[in-house]
Amino acid sequence: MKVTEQIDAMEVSGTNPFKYLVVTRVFAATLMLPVLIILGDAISLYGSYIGVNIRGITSFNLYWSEVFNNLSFSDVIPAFIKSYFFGFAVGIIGCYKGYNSSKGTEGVGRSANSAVVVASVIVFVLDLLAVQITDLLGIN
Amino acid sequence: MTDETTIGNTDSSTSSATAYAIVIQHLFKSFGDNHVLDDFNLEIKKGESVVVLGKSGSGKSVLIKCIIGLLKPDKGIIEMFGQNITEINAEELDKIRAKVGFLFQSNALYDSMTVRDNLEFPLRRHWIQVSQEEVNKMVLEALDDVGLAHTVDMMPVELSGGMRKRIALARTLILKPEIILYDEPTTGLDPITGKGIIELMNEIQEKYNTTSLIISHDMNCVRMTSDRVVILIDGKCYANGIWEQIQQHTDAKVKQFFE
Repeated sequence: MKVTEQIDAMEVSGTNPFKYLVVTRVFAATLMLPVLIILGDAISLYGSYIGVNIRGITSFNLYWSEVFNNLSFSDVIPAFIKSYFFGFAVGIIGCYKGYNSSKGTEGVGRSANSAVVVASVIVFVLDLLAVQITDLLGIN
Repeated sequence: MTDETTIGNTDSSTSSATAYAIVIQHLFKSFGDNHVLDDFNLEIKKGESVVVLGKSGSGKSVLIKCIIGLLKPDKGIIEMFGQNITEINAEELDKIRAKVGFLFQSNALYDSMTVRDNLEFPLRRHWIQVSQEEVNKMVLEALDDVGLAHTVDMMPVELSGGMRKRIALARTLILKPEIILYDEPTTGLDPITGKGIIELMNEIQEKYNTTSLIISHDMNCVRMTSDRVVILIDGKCYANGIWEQIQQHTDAKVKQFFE
């Protein structure tokens, strides 16, 4: 949007592009990443069931009762909470890189690449911090 | 129209009387050591159509972006409707912008929105309160002005370059601006489509009696749209006069535009 002057057009139209574009996207990423993680977890558990049941020796009910017997809140809740921070970081970094993108379509590609790299590193660092904090709190 | 050509900065010592739509005094803008605008002065009368002509990178787009408040000048005064836009707050600036249309070089249509949504966007300012019925009427009227009423529910990607330029022009017209700023309106268009846009600009000027500031290096556009031509060289208003006078100028720096 920056390289095609759409952000400037927004400003000229009396709309604050930061509020209109950045706030909404960061909010959406923060709110929706935990939902995406729940969906991912559900898919991985179903995938796991298919893997376990490939020879048809485990019943559906047995599999799920074993899953829930072995999972505790300390496995799920910290992971769920930290996903909000991941979503916020991904949203902020994506918007920052996109907002400051320049030099035409090539610049957009570079910004997207840079956003993915930086967001991955930040998610890794946040995860590291989250593990340390949950350890300190004795949650794990 | 001015009746004489001037060389050098036209120092506007007069205050912004009501006869002027835009008054620019001693405008400076630099990017690092690059002094893009260096004591630039210009006055544009209400209803006048002024073309700023300059080479690529001479600061034409910087000038127009300073006028609309997208860039903040380092020093100087830009008055529109009697208000110095370099000193007013964001809310006051938005109210002035509502009376100014800006046609971007790249059209700047929102590619995720339909033509209708693109045109409605400037009407969604919080202090503009119009009913949906009025909004629909305004959108269709603006599209009628550019001859593209049938594209109302199309996406920008479905339109040709010339049509996109017309839609962008319709978007600037939606709020019935008193001033329209055109940033290289014919760049990237073939000569025939470009001529159509130029004719449309003249029709709009005649119909709404708008004040126009046109940034261009397309000589056809300059010749056909200008009441007055200003040549921007070295960040200054180097020459100023009507098309015929500028064309017959003997100064080497001015002559190079016609060679």
